[in-house]
Amino acid sequence: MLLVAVLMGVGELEETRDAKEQAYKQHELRTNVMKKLEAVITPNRKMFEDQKSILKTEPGQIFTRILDATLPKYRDIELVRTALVFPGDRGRLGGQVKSDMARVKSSFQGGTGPMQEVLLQVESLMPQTMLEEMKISRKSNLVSKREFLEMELTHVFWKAVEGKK
Amino acid sequence: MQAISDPNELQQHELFHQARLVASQTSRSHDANWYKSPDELLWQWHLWFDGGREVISVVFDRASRAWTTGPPVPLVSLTTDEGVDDILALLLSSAEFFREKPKALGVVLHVADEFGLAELAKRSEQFGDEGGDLQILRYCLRDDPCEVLANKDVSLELNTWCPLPITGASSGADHCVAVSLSRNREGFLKKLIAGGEDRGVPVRVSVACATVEAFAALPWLKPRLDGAFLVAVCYHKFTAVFALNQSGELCAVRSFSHRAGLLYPSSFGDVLWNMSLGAEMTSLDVLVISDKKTVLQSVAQELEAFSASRQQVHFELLCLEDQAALELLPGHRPELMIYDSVGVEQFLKAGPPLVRSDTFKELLTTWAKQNFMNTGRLDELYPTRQDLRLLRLSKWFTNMLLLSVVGMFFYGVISFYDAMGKPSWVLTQEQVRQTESKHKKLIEEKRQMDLAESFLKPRSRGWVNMELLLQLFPEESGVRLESFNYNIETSRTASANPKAVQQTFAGLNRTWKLKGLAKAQSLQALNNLNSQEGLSEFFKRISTLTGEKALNPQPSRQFVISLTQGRNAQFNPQASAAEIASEPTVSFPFSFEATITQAISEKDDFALPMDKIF
Repeated sequence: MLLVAVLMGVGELEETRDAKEQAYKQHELRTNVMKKLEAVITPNRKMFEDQKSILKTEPGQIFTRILDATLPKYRDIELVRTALVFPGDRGRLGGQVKSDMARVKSSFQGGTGPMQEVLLQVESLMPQTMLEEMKISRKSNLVSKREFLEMELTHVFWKAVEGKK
Repeated sequence: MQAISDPNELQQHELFHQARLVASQTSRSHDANWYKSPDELLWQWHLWFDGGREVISVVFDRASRAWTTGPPVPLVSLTTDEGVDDILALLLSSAEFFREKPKALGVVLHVADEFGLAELAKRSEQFGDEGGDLQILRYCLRDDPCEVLANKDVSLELNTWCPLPITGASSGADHCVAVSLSRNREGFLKKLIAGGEDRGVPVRVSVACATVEAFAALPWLKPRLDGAFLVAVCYHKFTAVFALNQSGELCAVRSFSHRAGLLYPSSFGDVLWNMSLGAEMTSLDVLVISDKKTVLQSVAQELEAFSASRQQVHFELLCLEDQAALELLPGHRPELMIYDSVGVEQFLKAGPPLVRSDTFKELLTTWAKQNFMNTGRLDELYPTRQDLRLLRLSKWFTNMLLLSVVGMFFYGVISFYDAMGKPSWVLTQEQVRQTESKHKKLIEEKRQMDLAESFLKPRSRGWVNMELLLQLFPEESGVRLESFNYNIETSRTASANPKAVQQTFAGLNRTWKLKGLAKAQSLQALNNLNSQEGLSEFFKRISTLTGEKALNPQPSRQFVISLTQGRNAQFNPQASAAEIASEPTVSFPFSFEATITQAISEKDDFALPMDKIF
């Protein structure tokens, strides 16, 4: 009985010690991994904050403001906005992606040069965007017979709102 | 050593306590001599007496097979126990009688002053049919003689009995008789046993019937007997007569007391004649054995007279003093010879005619050395050797167990202190939980960072596509682009296997469709695209120009082009400049349609993450 009691006591002690050793090893391993993670995360934390602020913004308004600020620089013959729509569906890109998003469909008439300048402006200021669709077709004015390009663009803007599941 | 109590009167715990006392205070647990019979011991003391004045005392060193005269024992000591302790002390304390100081002593008392024979009950005789049954008879005679003896009026206190098989008995005759001896010398032997126990030296005792021993030793004295014989062994108080048939088997035995101061039984000739008739002997051949020549002379005169007056007797006289086989034995006693086991073995191997009979074989191996004293009863008081071995084993086991307990305890203590000194011992669950929580937060933060960075990667930009068009068809390139369509979509398809690992990135497919008219010199630019190499070269250039790495050809980004060229139905080679100004299409002889697709796999850096950032 005494031997069994001692054996049980020693066994219990061994078990506790092993469990604590195991827990300590895992703790140490986790601490090391955390240090490495910290080393990676810390320098990028500021950039991440900036990225979050970009992704938190309401893209429709920004997109409109940029166009409103840019387009007046061009004459109607160079580039003019003909339509701006905010579709409610998730389109071809958003179907399988869980992230929040917004879509903007815009139409322009004009030349490729001004159009490229405007797009460069918009897409540089809004890196969360992706061009989902672009259609360019040649049209002509029935009265003046003058040819122009009609451009229809659909942009997707990725969004991320903290606390929203 | 405390007095030993009868185990039958003790409780289990008392019995155990007594066994432990015996084990600790005596050498019984490790000295096997305590459990041997006297003839098995290396140091033996033989006492022979026939009721006369002399007690023959002989010691036998079994290791060297040396017989020497032992310490003198007064006859009175055998009955009064006087001086026994001194004699024992003398035997045990020095190497005077043995080559070395004895570690044990076997005492054999050869009783030659009586030779009682008792008839067995008829039922008991059936024990004699087989050797094993004779052993049962032997135990019955020792423990409950009334059950097996024909005469039920016997006293266990006064006598003891041992069986003597009559191997050559004819059918209807007794096949076994019981030899009885009185117990009046057991006190002497018990005194010796007690003396041995006091000294811690095993003293093992035995009471032997000298007559049977002497008969067993007959082959040494007379190795060959031709025909049936009567063997008469004359002692001081009686004469024992053994009848042997022609095969040398014992067929009858009688004991005759000496009366009226005679040295042999009265009417000895008649006695022998009657026995020979009983044994169905055709002639009266007698061998007379005695240690005294005077006895033999008297017997010879008696038998000669009988021959002359009644019946012819062929007799032979054998004086023990003249026997060469007994020269080395003090007192010339043949009874002692059978205790030299090596000598007996050698003698049996030599195989003189007489020992070929079952009678002598069995006598020498079993019946001649029977112990008439029930020492088993004395031995039963003590634990058996197996008990003591078990006790020693249990003690050893208990000690090992205790040692193990102590060892395990100290191991536990050391382990405990060792563990206490380690940082793992002071690590609390709260600390572990905090670290786990922090770790999870960091992993989640890293995941969010990776996702945010991935979502912000430039995968598909409008201005790059415009640049692609300009690079493909620069100004004055001789191409009139009628339409341009671009789209991008995810390519991930749902897995058919629900157990498959869920994808976290989706591949992308994008398509460029171009339709227009071209002049002959510009067809070359389109044809250059119509190969994997040309296509890859073109997109590589665009990627370098625009910095959009997603366009850079990689194994995970496959480009495919489909180009269709045809003649422009509106082409008019004779069209004037005015006509061309109003309808430019007439100046282009060829039409074309091109579809370029790029498939970005879900493993590509530019694959689209499917998870939410937050």
